[in-house]
Amino acid sequence: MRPEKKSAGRVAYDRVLRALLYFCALLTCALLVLLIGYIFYRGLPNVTWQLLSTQESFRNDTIGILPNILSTLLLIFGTLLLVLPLGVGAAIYLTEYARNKRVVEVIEFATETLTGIPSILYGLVGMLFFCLALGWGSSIRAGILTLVIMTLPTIVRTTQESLKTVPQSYREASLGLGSGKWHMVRTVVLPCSVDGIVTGCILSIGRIVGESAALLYTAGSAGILSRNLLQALESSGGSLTVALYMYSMERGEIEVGFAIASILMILTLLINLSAKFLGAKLKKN
Amino acid sequence: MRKTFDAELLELNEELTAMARTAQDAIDVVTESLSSDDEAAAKAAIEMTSSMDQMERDIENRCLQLLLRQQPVARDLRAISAAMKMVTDLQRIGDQAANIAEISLLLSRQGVVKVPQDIGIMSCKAGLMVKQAISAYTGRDVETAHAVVNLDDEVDDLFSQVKRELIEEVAENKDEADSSIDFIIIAKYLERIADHAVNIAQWAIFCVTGEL
Amino acid sequence: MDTHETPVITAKGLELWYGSAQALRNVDIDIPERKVTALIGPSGCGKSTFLKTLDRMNDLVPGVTIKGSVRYRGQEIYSPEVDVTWLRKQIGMVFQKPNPFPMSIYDNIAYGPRTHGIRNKAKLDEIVEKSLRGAAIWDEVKDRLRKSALSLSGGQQQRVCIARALAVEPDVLLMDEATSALDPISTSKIEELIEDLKNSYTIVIVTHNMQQATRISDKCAFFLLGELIEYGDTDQMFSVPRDRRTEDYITGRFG
Repeated sequence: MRPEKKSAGRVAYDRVLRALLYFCALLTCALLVLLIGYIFYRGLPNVTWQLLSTQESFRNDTIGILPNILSTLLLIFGTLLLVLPLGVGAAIYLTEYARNKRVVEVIEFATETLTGIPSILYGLVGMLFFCLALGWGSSIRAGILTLVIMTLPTIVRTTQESLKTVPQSYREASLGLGSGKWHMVRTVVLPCSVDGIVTGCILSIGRIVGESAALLYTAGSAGILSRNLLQALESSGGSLTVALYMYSMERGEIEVGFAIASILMILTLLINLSAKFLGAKLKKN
Repeated sequence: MRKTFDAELLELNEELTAMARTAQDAIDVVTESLSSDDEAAAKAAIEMTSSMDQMERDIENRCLQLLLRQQPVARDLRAISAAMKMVTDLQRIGDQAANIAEISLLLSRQGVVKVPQDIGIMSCKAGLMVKQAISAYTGRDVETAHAVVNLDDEVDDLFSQVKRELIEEVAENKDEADSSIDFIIIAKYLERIADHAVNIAQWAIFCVTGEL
Repeated sequence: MDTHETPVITAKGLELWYGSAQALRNVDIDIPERKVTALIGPSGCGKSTFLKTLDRMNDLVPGVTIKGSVRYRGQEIYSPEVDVTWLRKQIGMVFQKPNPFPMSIYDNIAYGPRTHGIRNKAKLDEIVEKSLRGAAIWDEVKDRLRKSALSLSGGQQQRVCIARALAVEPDVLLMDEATSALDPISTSKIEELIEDLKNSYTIVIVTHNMQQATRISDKCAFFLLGELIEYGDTDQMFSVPRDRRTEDYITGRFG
């Protein structure tokens, strides 16, 4: 270190750059706040109890999105229920058990490629296979399975990344104490990678909530309440995003669209927060 | 690797050699003073041995520093610990030489000149042993060290012989009993010097083989 | 030298390859009971590899081939009928960097016993206290057993790791440069601990620190390029080594 004085030019350059960075950060925040603010501003006044608690009635000429909320929740939890064990299991196999490095590399490359594929392709395949070939028609279950295929790469990737960050020394310590491999994974590796798995879930939830194209193909756009879970799975049901598209684009109900958008945002926030909470809880035990 | 350490070990060798040379010179000079009745030579010998005190302290200091800083093991540990022991033997050799020089001064004041021939031989041999013992150490030479150990027997034999001769001398010539006893003491000192040289040689052997 | 030492571990003609690179060449060694045996040698000489063959940690490395015999109390440990988890319970390992699990101190120590099926709370409490006492860290942590083990200092973490290893009541304790990441005070605490532990355990340590090997080991083995060059009493090896290469290495004039 030389005790040399900074030249005036350097000081100015420093300041300009710093100002630019501040500006970028400020702009990002402002955009985000403005967007959310605008959606809530336009949407929240239109969120009524009736909207939330009924289905659409042509006879009363009222709009209700309860079936869409339920469909969305069903899609999210149904997908996570299937994709988590599958994806986490695959990731554990790939990082902890698989011995053939080349096969692992190929699979990793494939999952990476799959994450980048436009969702409409998944929708097309899902429709061709689940709806037509299996004869399920437009149904939530076809939607769930399509979403499982779509989010699987994300879960596998994020879980794998997270497993890889668990220090090798923990594994050695556990095995050195006489643990079996699965015991080691269950008691040491998985608890350490909960964060990554939660991140994968949040990303997946984001994808599910934001998905419209693939779901239009597979789960349809119906807004009718089902009597029970089984019936709900077998029948068509539009998610909130699909409903948002339908109301605002097909029917010109822009205000309802903003209301749905507000609800969607609140819902996503709640689910993400609970995922984080659950993760923290899991990690503690 | 460990260049500084090796250089310091070399310096330690040089210091030991210098001290041994001083001891050896003192023995030579003192022998000279005995046979030539030279007071100045005896004084010079005392002077020489007194400088050995400082040498001993310097070498001990250097050894302690090396132990502290380098934490030597194996041959380095043996070399340094041997040096610490040897320096004491060298110091004793110096003391014995000084003692002989003092007796020599006394004798020359009394005007005694006739030194038994064997004492001269003893003194030569003892000086040689000191010299060889040190070179066995610095050269890590076990053979030379063994040679020094063997020489000791000759010195011991010489001592017995000198003793016998002097006893006869005393019996024959009671007037010179005084100086005869002085000569026996000198021979004893020389015999002790040879013993110390043997010690040094044994440290040299330890330094190479680790055998005590 | 005590000629009636019973070897706990005996290796004969042990050879090991990582792929096509040979890491151990024809190693013959008897590790005596309740003694500290130090493995020394330059980096990459095979001493850590050898240590890991003793509790079969090398199984984790892909592409390892092992020939020859390693017997633990007469049992050939590389024979197919040996249960690796049993072996690793008998032969505990402490690693170079302290590696406590990101759990509470209590759970770290209880991890091993729980793995081996102990669920009883009172029994676990007893084991935890005994192990922490055994590793000379009980007094420092008894009031914060529920705190994360990662909140401890490096030296404390390493002693927790030793306690964790002791908790499964092993017979042999392997330590792979267990103090190289620690400050001098923590190091001397662990060295003292090793002196204590050798009354009840057979200990094998890998160390780069010659002074440490001379301070705490009874037996010393010098490895070079995968070969066991010299093996004998530590006192003898550090005063009069038999092999020129050992002498060059321990006096720091190697290569």
